[in-house]
Amino acid sequence: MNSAENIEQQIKKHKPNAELSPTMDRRILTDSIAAMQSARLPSEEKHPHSIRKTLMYSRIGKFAAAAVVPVAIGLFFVFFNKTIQPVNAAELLGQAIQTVTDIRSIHIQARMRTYPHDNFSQVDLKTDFVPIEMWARFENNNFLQMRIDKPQRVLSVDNGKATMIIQNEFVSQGNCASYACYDSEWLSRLMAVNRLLENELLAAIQNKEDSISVYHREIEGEKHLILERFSPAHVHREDYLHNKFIQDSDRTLIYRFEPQTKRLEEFQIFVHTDNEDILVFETTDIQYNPFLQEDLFSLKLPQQPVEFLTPQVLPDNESYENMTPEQAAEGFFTACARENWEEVLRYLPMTTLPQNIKDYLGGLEILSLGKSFLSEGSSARFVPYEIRLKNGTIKKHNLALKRIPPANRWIVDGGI
Amino acid sequence: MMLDEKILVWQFNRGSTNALCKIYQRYKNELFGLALSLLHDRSSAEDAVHDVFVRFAQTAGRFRLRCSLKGYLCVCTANRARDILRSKARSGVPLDEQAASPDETVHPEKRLIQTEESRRLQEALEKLPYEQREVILFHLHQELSFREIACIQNVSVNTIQSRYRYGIEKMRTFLTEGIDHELSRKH
Repeated sequence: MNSAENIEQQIKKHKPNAELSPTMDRRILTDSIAAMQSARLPSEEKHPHSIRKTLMYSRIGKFAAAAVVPVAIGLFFVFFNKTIQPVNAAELLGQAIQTVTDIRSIHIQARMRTYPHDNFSQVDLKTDFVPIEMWARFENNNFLQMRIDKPQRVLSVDNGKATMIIQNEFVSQGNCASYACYDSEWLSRLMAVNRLLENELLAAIQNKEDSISVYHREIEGEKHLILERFSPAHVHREDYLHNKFIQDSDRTLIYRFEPQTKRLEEFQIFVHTDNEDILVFETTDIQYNPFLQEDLFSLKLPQQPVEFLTPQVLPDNESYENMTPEQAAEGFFTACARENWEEVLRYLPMTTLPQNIKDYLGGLEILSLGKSFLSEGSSARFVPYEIRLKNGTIKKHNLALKRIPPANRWIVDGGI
Repeated sequence: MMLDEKILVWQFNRGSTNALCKIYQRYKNELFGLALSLLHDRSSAEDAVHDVFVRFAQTAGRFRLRCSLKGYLCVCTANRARDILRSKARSGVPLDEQAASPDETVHPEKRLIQTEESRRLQEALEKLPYEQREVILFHLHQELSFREIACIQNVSVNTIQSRYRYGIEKMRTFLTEGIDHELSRKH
């Protein structure tokens, strides 16, 4: 019987399962690439000397995308060998290693959409840019000293010892032999300019989810090496932390190198959302081998520094250890509401509670507390909350709580 | 629009041949299948896919995607197929009788039935106005939603649903008439 459903099923069943002939397949791709290379790309007014603008202005065909290193699908590499004279990835790696060896120090100025006091990898797509400044000194291509400044967060690593100062009040110190601590991994990776091109090529080859394009492009009469690397977020799109930190963002990193020396000239990061591609980070100036004052890497500690402490086992630790995240959130906010600062310190261990925190949280009113949830990007539990602050402001956010040994009770890790 | 598709389009617009290749690899066979369903001729279907991709590649840097990329490419393929059909009709050159071959792994008797079914379906589809035929193929073969098709063709969802409904209803009539005709011949 030929019901409508039956006809639909029959049509579906008879969908042709055909493939293009190899000759035609190759021809279509060759002709399409040629057509693309002769297409004129539109201009853009913003960022007058940025990579983006120059890429948009330039005529791709003229410079022939000299190297394309598609790592996601090996098949392409064979094809490109026949059509657009690629620079071999291994050759490019070799050049990168051989040429960028004479850098002893670096000074990078940049800007980033982030909160001035927050983690070094935190991004906020809706906020304005804040300046970021970085310095590093190298010995035998290895970090010797490094410093990163955000307006309200400074990190210095000197001979493997790290000091971080937040809002000129909080101090955290520790070992950092990797020169990649306190959420600064991606920035120290950028500062390691000696190995930057090599590292990016290797990372893209090793990480199957990444895709990378390397090609030459003429910018204002000079040839440059452009490397574009798309990295998908480490968390799902529905995750609370998606697009909130660099590593948790769907992003494209664009590097512009000087083709002979392979020195980095410019760097940008775009974060992709459903509707927009948002520039979240870009370098504004890069100086190689500048003279750096010796004391640049010795941070001046505040007169009365507040230090974060590792939570220790309390005499009544068990009652805290048995709490659910929701109970811990309620305990923390209740202590703030009652201005019971000794109790607050049990959830927020530090040497002393600064007055600005007391002023901010003291006398608050809990309006609601929700059910805790997890994120793929963090080991914390997040408890949704709504509070009314003493000044009448209503704040709705998620309190991050973590169990930290040896006490293993819930400690406030962010979201205040 | 899927995010990875959006990023591919973004990279494509910035001149990434890698992105163009990925888009091509992702959709070439789907589009070829669609062109084959509309043209029933392998060579013409290949030409249609060729023209669609070359024209698409020429838009690099100024391509703006409002709906899905797959939907966009499907509509381009259908439009190109229609042009080829018109051109062949004008020149009087018939298209080769070369639709997709039946599945070789199926039992010969079953294959015969399948081929017969396929032939009847093809004939019924060809009797439909082109707009109805393409909507049926977009929806049933390419799995595009009515909303996607409407978005790309810039018409209302109701129009697309009507085209689809009328198309299926006409096919039902054609196929039933075909069976009745065969039965009356046998008796």
